[in-house]
Amino acid sequence: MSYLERPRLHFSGSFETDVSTVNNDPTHFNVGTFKPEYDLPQTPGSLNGWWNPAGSAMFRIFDTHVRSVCYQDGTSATTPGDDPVLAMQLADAGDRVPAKLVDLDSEQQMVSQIWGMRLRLMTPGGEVAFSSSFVVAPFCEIWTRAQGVAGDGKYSAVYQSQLVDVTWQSGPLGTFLDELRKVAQDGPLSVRFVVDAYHDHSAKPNFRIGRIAGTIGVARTGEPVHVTRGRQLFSSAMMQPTFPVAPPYPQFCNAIGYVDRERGRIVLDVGNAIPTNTDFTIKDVGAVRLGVTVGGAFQEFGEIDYRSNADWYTNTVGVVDIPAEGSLSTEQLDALRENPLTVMGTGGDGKDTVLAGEANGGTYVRADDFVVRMSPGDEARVMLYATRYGEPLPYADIACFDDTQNTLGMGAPNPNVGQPIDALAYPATVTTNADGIAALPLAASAPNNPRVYIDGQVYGVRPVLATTHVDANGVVNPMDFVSVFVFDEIHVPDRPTWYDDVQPILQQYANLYPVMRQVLDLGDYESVVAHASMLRMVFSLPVEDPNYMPVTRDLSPAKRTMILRWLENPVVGEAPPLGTVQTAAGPGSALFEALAAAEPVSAEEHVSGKTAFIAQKSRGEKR
Amino acid sequence: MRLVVQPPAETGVVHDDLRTYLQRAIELEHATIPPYLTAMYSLLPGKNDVARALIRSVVVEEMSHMVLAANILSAIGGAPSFTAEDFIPAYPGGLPFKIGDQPGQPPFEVHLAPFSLQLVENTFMAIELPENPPLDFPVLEALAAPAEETFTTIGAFYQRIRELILAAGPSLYTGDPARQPRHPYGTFAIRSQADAIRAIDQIVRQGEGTTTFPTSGSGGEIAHYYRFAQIVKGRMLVPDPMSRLKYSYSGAEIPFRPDGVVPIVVDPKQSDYPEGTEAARISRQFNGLYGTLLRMLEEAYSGKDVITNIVGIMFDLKIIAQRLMSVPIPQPPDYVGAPVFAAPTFEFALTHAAF
Repeated sequence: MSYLERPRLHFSGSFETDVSTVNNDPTHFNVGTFKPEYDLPQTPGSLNGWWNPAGSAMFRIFDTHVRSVCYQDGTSATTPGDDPVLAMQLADAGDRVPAKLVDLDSEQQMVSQIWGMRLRLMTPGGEVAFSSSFVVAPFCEIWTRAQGVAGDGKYSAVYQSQLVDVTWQSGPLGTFLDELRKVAQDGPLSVRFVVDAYHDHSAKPNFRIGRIAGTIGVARTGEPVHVTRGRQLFSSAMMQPTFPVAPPYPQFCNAIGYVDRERGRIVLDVGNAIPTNTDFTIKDVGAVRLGVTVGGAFQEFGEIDYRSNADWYTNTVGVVDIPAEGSLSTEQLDALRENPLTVMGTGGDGKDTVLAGEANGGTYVRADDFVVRMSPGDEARVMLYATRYGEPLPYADIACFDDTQNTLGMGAPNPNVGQPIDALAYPATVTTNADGIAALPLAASAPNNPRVYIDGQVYGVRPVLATTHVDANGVVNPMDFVSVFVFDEIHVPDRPTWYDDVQPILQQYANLYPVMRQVLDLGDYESVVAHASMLRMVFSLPVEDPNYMPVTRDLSPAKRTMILRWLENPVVGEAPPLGTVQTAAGPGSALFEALAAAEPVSAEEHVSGKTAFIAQKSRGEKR
Repeated sequence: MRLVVQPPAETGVVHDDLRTYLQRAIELEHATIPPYLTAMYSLLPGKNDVARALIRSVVVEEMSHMVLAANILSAIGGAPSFTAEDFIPAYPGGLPFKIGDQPGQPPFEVHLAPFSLQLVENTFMAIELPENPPLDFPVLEALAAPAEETFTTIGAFYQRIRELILAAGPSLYTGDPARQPRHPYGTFAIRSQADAIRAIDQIVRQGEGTTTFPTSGSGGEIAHYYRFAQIVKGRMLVPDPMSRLKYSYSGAEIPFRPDGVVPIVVDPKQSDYPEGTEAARISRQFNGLYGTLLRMLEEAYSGKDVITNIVGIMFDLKIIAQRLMSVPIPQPPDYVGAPVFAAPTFEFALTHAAF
């Protein structure tokens, strides 16, 4: 629950991300059928390489400032006059390139991970209060927040992780940061932020820009990196089978609460719960109150003052104390131990309507690191954290089952997902220990190239508490599952050659990542050899490094070993018969000229990444 | 950048002078990089690729010269600086020591401009003009000695440094070689006076060739001046036994395609891009990352291994620059001309904060 505890700071501002979209279409991986126009932007009448083929995968934050803080004693401050931290800004790396944002796979685009991000808190004079490394994390909790917005701007999602290797400036930093540093000692910080309001239409001045709003607190020793062990409130819309990305859209989405018994308050995070208007201002959905439901009766604790001023969201990032003044009574706090927190709104008929609340008898399970990459022969452990009304749920059975066909893939004509099912093995049930924690062991074997022109296979594994699983009224977040990528097995030859072993792999990258052609042509022997020392360096970096290549992080360790071996001794080998080698990528100038031509498609014709993934998925035929 | 260097005095102060000269050599080598990069970035990949590759090869060597000068400075106990506020010169502007100025001519100015044959001939070749030009070239008159020391050519400047290195003797090389970065771009560590002389000779030969060859030696690479001349002449310079100078511009043709050049703005400033526009944002991002690059270069001389950071930043700078060059500059509503595209302004973002 750390980021919701005291002390904590709230920040908001802008992010920019420049994801490459050529690889949004799984069929573009097919080197044999790739066409040069797939590297060009969408035009009226043709999807081509979608909305941002020149993407470099960069993810950076800018113009992001500390807006408010909560001290250890529960008091808060909002202006630089109160505390120097309120004049500071959150910045990304100052010593290297920004982070990278990467999909797990073209057939699982809903858990995009941030790699290699450093976050620094900077004084207005450019001094670093602290610098830190953001543990690689995927987004979760995506939903349609801005109904009526075309493109991916309508979505909102959450990143939760930790900041590690925190280096603090010595000397006094002001009351708040001195407190944070003291409580954190030399340990990690906990961070969670919401991203929304992304502009993916090239005709808009804020193209590639979105809004970021989040919280930094202290991570408790031994707590999960990506899970808040708090009170999980489900949107009432989650009962709809189309949740969370197709109509009817929720009037209110998931929220997390933390009961601060010492202060007699509930810290509620509704940062990813309240919808926005099409201009991304917070939408007025009427009075919203938090309380507890005891025996079917709602007992109100206080109102969420989200309509109090226009800057409410950017200043509070949606993290609020309930009640705002005073504290809950002992009876109220006791009622919370065995009864669900409930967010109550007012329906069109003026009557109370439940917007969100704890479900499943207050039980909840969540995987900590829910994105896994494995090679055949690898074993991995995914840690599952179960809670009941915010407390660890011991000795509980968790059913774990394949849910690939409901979660992944985009349907025909794209390759099928989750097959063969036996390339990923795991137990059907795991049981939590005394601390409410269970390890889900995964074992990968060779999937044997089921997708032909795309390496490996993707699987969706859903862990659900057994009691929820058998309950006809059990509530499950459909977007909450474990995504596993299993690489294909390859034999690494002692003496790999360009034509037999390397070119087929690198040509695919040349096709899918056209921005590289500004530096080198990965499909061309001469060009690759001319850049051999640079390639050796970037292929040898830790995968967490923002300079790691390939940026998409979808090259298997075995293939990487082979390419590195080849770079030591770049043997050409025997060229295949004329016409069988595909070098479909067009000249680098074509992409630039298409971009400079500045004739973007209309908002109606524009196809966005996440939107298209969902649309294709729902259109595609299941096999 | 207009720091005045006093002419060298007696041997007792040679060491200090040498440090100052080497720091100025770093600044001089760097001053050539933004105009070369701007011209190179303005060439669309897939068109004019030979010219693009030739400029790129020169830029890479200028970077190696900058690193070699910094290595010598580090080797004699100095701390190379890349982050002074005026480290990036203002464009348009002259080169340090008024290099390139000719008697009776207006001061030589370097611009950030799109590639053109005139730019290569009038600016790039002037920057790289050899100290001892081939007979084909006019012999330069010596300039009247002004109060501020000047050099007509880069080669003359390095000749002065070479003299200082020899005069200072072999005992200066006490700097920790581990503080020099891992030899990027074909550079090497400087541990002795002999290494320093070898570095200076390499810089001069790569820049202007020898007095008898347009290369850094028999069979070596074509020197910068002649590399650029190839672009202007439209043909590669190749050995030619029939020619009086044993070389002639009779190699492969280098066709110039004007449609392969992005029409970018000349000598842009960040303030030219209205706040809130895409050009302003991307330009700020470029300048911020360029500032990071310079700070990392400085850190490289504290013994920190930041070469990966530097290589990664240079990769991103290229992408950001070319993205900037795809953004048309906003024009007034009554503007009827062809679109003009934004370009990097190379203004130092000293701040370590977000950009």
